[in-house]
Amino acid sequence: MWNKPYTLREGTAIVVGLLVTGGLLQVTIGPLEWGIFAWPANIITLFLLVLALIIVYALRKRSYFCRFMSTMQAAIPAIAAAAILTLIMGLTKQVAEGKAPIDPLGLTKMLNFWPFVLVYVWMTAIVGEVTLNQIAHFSWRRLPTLTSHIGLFLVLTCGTLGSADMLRVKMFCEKGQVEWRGLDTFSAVHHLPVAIQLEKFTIDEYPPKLMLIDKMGLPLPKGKPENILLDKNVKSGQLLDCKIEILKRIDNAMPVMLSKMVGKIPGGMMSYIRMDSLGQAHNKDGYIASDATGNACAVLVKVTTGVNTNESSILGFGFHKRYQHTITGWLTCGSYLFPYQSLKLNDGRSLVMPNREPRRFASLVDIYTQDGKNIHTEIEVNKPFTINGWKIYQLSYNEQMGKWSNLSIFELVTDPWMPVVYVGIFMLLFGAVGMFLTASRKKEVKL
Amino acid sequence: MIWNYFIIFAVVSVILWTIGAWGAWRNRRTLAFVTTGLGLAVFFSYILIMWITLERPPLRTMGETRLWYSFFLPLAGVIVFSRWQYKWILSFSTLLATVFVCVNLFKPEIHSKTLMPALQSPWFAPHVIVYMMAYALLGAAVVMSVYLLFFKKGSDIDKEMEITDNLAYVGLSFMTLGMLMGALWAKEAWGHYWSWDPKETWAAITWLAYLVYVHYRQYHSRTVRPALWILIIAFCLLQMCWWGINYLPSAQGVSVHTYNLS
Repeated sequence: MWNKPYTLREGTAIVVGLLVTGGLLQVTIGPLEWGIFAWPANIITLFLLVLALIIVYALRKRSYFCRFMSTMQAAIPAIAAAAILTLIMGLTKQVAEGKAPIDPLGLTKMLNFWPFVLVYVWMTAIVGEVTLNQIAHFSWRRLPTLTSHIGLFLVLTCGTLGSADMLRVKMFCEKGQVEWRGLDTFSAVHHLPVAIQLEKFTIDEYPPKLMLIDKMGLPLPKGKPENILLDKNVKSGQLLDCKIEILKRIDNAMPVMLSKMVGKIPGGMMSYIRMDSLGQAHNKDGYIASDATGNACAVLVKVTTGVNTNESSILGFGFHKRYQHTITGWLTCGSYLFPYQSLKLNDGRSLVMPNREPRRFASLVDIYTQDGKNIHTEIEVNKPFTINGWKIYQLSYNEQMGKWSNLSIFELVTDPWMPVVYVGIFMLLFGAVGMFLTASRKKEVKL
Repeated sequence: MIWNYFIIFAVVSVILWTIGAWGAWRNRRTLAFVTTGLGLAVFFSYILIMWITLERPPLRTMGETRLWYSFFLPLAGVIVFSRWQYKWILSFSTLLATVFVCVNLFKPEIHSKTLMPALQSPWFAPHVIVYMMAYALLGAAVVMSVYLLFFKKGSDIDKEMEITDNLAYVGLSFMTLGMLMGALWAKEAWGHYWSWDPKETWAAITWLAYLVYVHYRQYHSRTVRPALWILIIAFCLLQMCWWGINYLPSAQGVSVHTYNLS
């Protein structure tokens, strides 16, 4: 070993050396805290790293090791080690940010695990050396490889060092109130240069669904539950052996008993009123349409059990007919105001309308900034709003209130290093396209 | 339910692909191209119909992604066939596609019409489609490596290695595109381009594994056996990334990518 030229064996030995060093660091000084790289430590570190890589490159004529760094023999064990450590990360449940690892080694916090960090630093250094070498010996044919290497270098360095400058906070906005404070993952309060006033929160929902559950409340059939989606024009449907006919459908329904109270009680008091399941049981008159807040979809259904679908009815001809049973009743998913109502079938199963799934939720907001901007806009999932280096995301709402929520939860993120990382990502994209275009050409040049 | 018609389209496509594979064996190239192309058209029309009736791209459940996979395998096969005239490649791609078609026929999964807000993005379709294409190409590459490792007689394998390399390179480039599109989408949807979600971690593992292959091929291009083994291992890791994490204890309850279980 250690005879020149070095092979994969020496490359592997270096990686093992790094793992051991990392292990010792882990034992002596504990997991790496990325927070120490907060501005300006990260830009200084990056500057020193690039400087060191250039010095190493300049010394390649004199030192074999410096030359070795840009070879495949060095690169392959480094990539493989990075893959294996990431594999361990993928196989162990990682603890949340801000928590201590739950195993003695620190594997449950892989991103702060010294051997992991050192192997990635070594890989990054190799990528840097290769990049310098490819810039010094530029060739158009190698352009995709070169851009991939530069891109990867930028993503690895700026993504990790920049993470210390990233701030992610949650902001809880109540309708009508201006909010400028945000909570980070450690529940610390940050006063932000951006304030949000929630004007209106809306949810569009998918049509209601009907499904069967067993006595234990588990959806049927077990493991792969079926349901029918009640689109506007659906009048009947088949669910397992049950024929379901929709006799009446009210999209903005309210239990009759409850709706009698609405209007008689002052609005302020109404917000404290909830109908419980006992009240629901007393509600004999079904549901009527209502514009009051807290309404939900209700359907009057007629269910006939023991109706077989066409293919099996040939086999059981006349057999199931006798066991048919019909029941009629109201179904609703309920809201924060009144509980859900299911329809119990004679065999112990129940027909239910699960909570409706949101199709889209959005907040109409006014955004104010410290430098005097005032913007009126709508924020929804997948459509964040960017202002003064902050991105504002629609995160959540008061899920118990559902579509009647008057609370909207936003996530505000600032990541000053993101533009540089994006340059890296786009260079990698360019490299990938180039690799695709030149894949079949490579060999022809060689042959 | 639209899935009730799947069997008709699937059977027609599989028959057409089989005729194409037979044509390739018999050196009847036109027949091979026309029937495989027709099969792809029939299969894709089913995907399109499904897209229209579901009112969203059919990419959410495992069953739906398998649909794309069954589509891309013969597509990759026919591209390889047109470029290198490899007789048996269409048989392999047809066989693999049929396996996935059968899984969808006999073990269909819940095909709900709803799509949660986080998935409603212009990034959704390209991200998943590009990944499926990558999986198909890398699947073809692993078929090549199994063939070369265990079945190929003789030592003249330059041409086969060229195909394997190209499949792996193109597969890796598609995978890179899919991964980076995922990163750009994640920034828009979840606030960060890379949050080490279990799916992302496994995507990184898979990507690194294929990088090992690419670099190893540049290092010792004459020693092929380790390289072929790397391809097989990398493909196993890719399976973990694709569907394995749904069953992985360490990913339970923390991954935002497990939509098909919802």
